[in-house]
Amino acid sequence: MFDNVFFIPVFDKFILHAPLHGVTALVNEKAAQELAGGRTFAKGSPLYEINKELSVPAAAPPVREGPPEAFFLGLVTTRNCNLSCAYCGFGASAAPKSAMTLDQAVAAVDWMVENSLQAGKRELNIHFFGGEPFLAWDLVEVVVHKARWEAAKHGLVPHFETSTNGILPEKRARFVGDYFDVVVLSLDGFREYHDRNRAMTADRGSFEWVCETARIWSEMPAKLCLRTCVTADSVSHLEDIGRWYCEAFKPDTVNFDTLQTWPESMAAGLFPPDPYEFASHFVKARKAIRAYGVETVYAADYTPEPRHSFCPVGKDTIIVTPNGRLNNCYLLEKDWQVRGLDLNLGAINNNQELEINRDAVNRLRKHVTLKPSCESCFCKWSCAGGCHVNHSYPNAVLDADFCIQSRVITACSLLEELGELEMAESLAAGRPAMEALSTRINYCEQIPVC
Amino acid sequence: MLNHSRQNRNASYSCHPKVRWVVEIDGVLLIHHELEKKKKLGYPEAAVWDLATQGFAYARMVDLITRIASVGFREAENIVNGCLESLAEQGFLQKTE
Amino acid sequence: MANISITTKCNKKCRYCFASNSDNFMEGQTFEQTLDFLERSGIKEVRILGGEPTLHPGFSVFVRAALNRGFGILLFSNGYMPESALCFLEELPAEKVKILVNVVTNPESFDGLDKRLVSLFQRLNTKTIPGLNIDTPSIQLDFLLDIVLGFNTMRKVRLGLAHPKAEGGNHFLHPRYYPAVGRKIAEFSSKARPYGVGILFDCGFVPCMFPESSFSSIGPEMAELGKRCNPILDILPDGQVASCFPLASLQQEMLREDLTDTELRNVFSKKQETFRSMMLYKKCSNCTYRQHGHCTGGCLSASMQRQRFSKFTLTVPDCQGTLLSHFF
Ligand code: SF4
Ligand code: SF4
Repeated sequence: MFDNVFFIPVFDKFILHAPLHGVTALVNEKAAQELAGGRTFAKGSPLYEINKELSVPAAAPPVREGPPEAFFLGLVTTRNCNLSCAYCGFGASAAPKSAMTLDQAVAAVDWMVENSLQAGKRELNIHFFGGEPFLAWDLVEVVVHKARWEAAKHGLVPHFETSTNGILPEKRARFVGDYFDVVVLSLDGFREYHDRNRAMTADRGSFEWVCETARIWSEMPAKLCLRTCVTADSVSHLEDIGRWYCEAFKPDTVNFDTLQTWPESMAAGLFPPDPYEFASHFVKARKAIRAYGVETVYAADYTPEPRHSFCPVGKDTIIVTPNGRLNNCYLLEKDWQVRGLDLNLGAINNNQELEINRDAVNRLRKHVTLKPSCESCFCKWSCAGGCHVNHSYPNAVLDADFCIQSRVITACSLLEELGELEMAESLAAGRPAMEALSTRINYCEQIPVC
Repeated sequence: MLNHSRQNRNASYSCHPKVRWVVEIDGVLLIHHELEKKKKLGYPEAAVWDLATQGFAYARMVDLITRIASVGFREAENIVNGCLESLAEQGFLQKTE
Repeated sequence: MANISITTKCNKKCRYCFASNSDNFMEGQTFEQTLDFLERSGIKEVRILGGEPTLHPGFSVFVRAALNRGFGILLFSNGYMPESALCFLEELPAEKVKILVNVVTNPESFDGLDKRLVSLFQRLNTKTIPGLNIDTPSIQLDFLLDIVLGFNTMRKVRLGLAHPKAEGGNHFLHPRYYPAVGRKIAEFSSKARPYGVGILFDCGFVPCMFPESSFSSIGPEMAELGKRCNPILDILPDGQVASCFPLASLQQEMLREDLTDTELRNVFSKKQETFRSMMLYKKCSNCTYRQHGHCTGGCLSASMQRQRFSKFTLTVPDCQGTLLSHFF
């Protein structure tokens, strides 16, 4: 048997997917059985080449070692927010109004410059999170200019990303459009969904303002990603929402992800979509959006590069919280603590120095490679277990819905890459085929033996 | 370094109506459409320009420059004043006293 | 090279168009002056465009006049021309006249091609070059190859990017979509090359929009693509000359009798010197294509969209020293 070679049933065929070998092919059942059964093939036979490639042991992506090399510097400028989203699990609208201090932010930038230079990187990569990160505006100004200046001095290319709710004055929106490289803007589709999910106050939605900000950013240099949280009732409109995004704005990418259930979301009567429905509409929406030349993203979807982690965790990412803690994840500490996780890497001390615990860095580098429940799933090198806090935490029972939608979408992406567009569409159109594909336990094992 | 603190006192600087700017990777490029000239601002002047366009008051601007440039406030004040004065001399800002 | 816009009148309403659709027609005398200008500049080809140039009442007279003076003709049309113009063009010798047909509605496929265009390509076949102005990343290009092969047109297709007017207001292809468009062109090019069909690129294309792996399939033109933002000279119906249509609001010059195209171009280049340091993207300033002379930073008019303006007044308070020391 080969290692890390997966057989994904699609109707009467199989996608042979070997991400570590860089091999993906559509094969019939007989070929799948012969390949999986370790048969030898005559030179010149179509399976000979595939077999040859699969026979060479392929290495998993290396586990990081040595001194920390931050994937990026994340700044949770404040947990405070100017919206009261019905599903927010950050407790943001009730969060303290305090922001990270300017001294801490400056110290973090200085550290990141040094770290990027030591790692021989070209980019100085800084991401802003919240709450709503732009509520700490002075801090954003200081970080952006400080980082740009330091980057210029040291021959680095500054790169800024942010996730934002888009509720900021036009002048600031224009600053972001000019100085930032990627802006991820939350927009939950049509007004009825958006205003219900993302209200400013009890009787005022944020839809108009967010659309205006999206229009401003549509004309500006920063790459615009429209991120939509999909719920049980918006899922059937994804195609229309996608088309509307491309007609009304100029996004670079559209991102659909499903609602993460929190006590707040349940209390608001919001539920995630059925995973088959989500996968089906996602694939259709992706096609509709592609017709506009725009990419659609699902966080756990197939990526060309195998990975151990689909998020910042395990990649030495330093995320500074408003109280100066250095974490590997931007969620609240209590959220990961209840999962039995410790994602802290250190803190900024009173001398404004970043103290990073090397043992914690090494522990988390290793942690992301250990996902026993994902061992025989074909998405293990792309979805990589999803969110470490919400999906693949220690002793987690895998979230069946998350696995179903990730598997179906990944299989459709693989088919599309193979040029099998119609098959991808048919797969996403019918529940039995999606079920047959997504509910297997083991994708390494051989398929039905004749 | 020239001390600009005194000469700028109680002066107002506004953007010349024919001046436009473009954000570059390492600074800001000012274009004067009437005088048909340009000026590239590197740092820290590019930060002064941006903070001015964002409507920051002088005192706050100086405060932020202390962090951006890692200098004390006297020096930050000098940076801001020097930048304003030089841009006024070159016609990018209009100075009124 | 210089383009003569003999009218701004048009029978289509393309959202990216620079011209105001109005009844501006070039006078015969002005047209003669532009021919004089081309002659003294040593230019052998008259490039006639509009609006839709065939709607000019004197269209055929102008073309004849140019032919009689020994010029070749390159006509830019949307293909929706009056029957009289079509008959007239049919009669002209193929070695003297080329018609660049910009297909203004991007059909999903060859089958979706409008009947009037089908008829035009059938009748003018070898004189035509099909083309497309790209104003959205959602373009399909394969139909252009079908047109070339199906109607036996010249073995070329012309591609243009819809650029913004310097002062804004028209629809254009946002530079964020250049790489998406570049990938489609690269795919198209690899399909078209085996049939001997090449691409004529208009101004404003840049190397970074194409995957590097596609450079060879795009061909030797690749090396020059990024350097095509220069004063083209667009002569407007009233005889004024602009560097190009998008930059018309920046500067216009009268077609003076003592000027050649090189001199006029120098006038525009000088004026544009100040603006040239603006480039399409922030990243242009440390781009290796630019450093190696393969790109000048894209369409100037598109680059100018990055310009910002804000009214601000900053007051330096009288008591700054004390105020500050008090604060900190
Ligand atoms: S100079 Fe700018 S537009 Fe030209 S190739 Fe480089 S990045 Fe692209
Ligand atoms: S500014 Fe340059 S690239 Fe743009 S339309 Fe004019 S000549 Fe072409």
